Amino acid sequence: MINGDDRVLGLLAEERPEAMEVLYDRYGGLAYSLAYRVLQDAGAAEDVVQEAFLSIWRRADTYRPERGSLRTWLCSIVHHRALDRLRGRAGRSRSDVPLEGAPHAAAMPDMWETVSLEMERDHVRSALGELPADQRQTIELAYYGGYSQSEISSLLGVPLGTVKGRTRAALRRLRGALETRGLGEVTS
Amino acid sequence: MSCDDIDLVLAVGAVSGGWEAAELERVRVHTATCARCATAAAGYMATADALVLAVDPVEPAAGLRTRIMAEVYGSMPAATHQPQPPSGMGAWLRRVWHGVPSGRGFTVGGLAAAAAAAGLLVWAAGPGRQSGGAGPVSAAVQGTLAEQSVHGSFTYYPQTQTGVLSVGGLLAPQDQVYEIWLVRPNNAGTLPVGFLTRQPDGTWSAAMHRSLEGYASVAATLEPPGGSPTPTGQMVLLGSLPST
Repeated sequence: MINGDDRVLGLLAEERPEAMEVLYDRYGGLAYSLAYRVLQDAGAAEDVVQEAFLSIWRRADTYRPERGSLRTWLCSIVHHRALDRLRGRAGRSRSDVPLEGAPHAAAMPDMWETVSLEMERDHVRSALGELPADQRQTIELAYYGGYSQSEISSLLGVPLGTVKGRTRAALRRLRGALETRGLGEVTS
Repeated sequence: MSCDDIDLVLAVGAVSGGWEAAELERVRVHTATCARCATAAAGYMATADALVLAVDPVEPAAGLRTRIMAEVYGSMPAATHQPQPPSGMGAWLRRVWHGVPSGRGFTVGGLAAAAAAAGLLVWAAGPGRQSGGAGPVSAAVQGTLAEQSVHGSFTYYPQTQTGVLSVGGLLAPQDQVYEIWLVRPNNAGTLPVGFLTRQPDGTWSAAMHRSLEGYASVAATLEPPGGSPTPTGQMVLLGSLPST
């Protein structure tokens, strides 16, 4: 069966601009929602989403399916650029390396593609809501707020090691909760 | 670093948008020879990626899609931007790319003159306008008296001979289509160049791939399904073509 991403990939391979229309219609809302959640600024969020889509258009030949789905690729770019902008704006810039270039992404299975977006959203929200409050807060500050672990340590008044430990514990618990809901198969 | 140390670095980096260069190098070296940590890395990354789905949906502003697509179409090199049959895509695009007869000329009595007399014609250079260069140029289009809430722009990319018409404020017509026309100076004729397509954000847009030479204005009218060889219905918008 040809799914929407396959269609986009086929069009991208032919350098057909229609690919970007399909891609936007599938994930534009999600990408914007993420950018807006991080930046809390409509104009800045639009800029980030536009940059991300154009980045994909210009670098479509660098996409490797084994690195994850198109959605993962797009949202990684959006997230990274939003954090860059946030850190730049708040003077919290750091020289981190783009997630998309990290070695781990290459081994990442696309575990989320098989379930519809809305169902996935419900499951992820529920799983996040089930985290202990301190773990959920740490994850939200890091992922959506763009705060470094040191900044979270200062904000919450807890040792840096505790913050890192909460981050790891939260991801492990979240992963288990998602697996329980049938969202993907993660080996350990 | 031990596996436990690396594991902690992996988890933190997964939710923080990446690693600092020194951390990344340590991770690379370690995971290259440690299958267990490589697998853990994949798990952390995938789990962090799922966090995007917990975000409350927020609709992007009308026009973001159009701006992105205008950039995409405008970035295409002229040499590689040959007319193609876009399989599976909207009929409007196929028609523009393929089936629009380019030699037809049809008179529209008083089309631009009526609009100009009604004070509807608005000329405004867009932010991307570059005089005398090959960059994109744009001009505003505006609704007629019957559609005063209509507004939009026509952006043209001379290098690729690609035009993108973006319009807001139009309602979806019942059993009719919005057909687009290029209009010759002094209303000496019109050329059908496609149909406006409603976008998910409520705006309307169309792309065309052709030279604007010999044409002065762009207009849209309400026409029966499938369009008309000449404008027959109510005109809803009009604007001057940007000078190239």
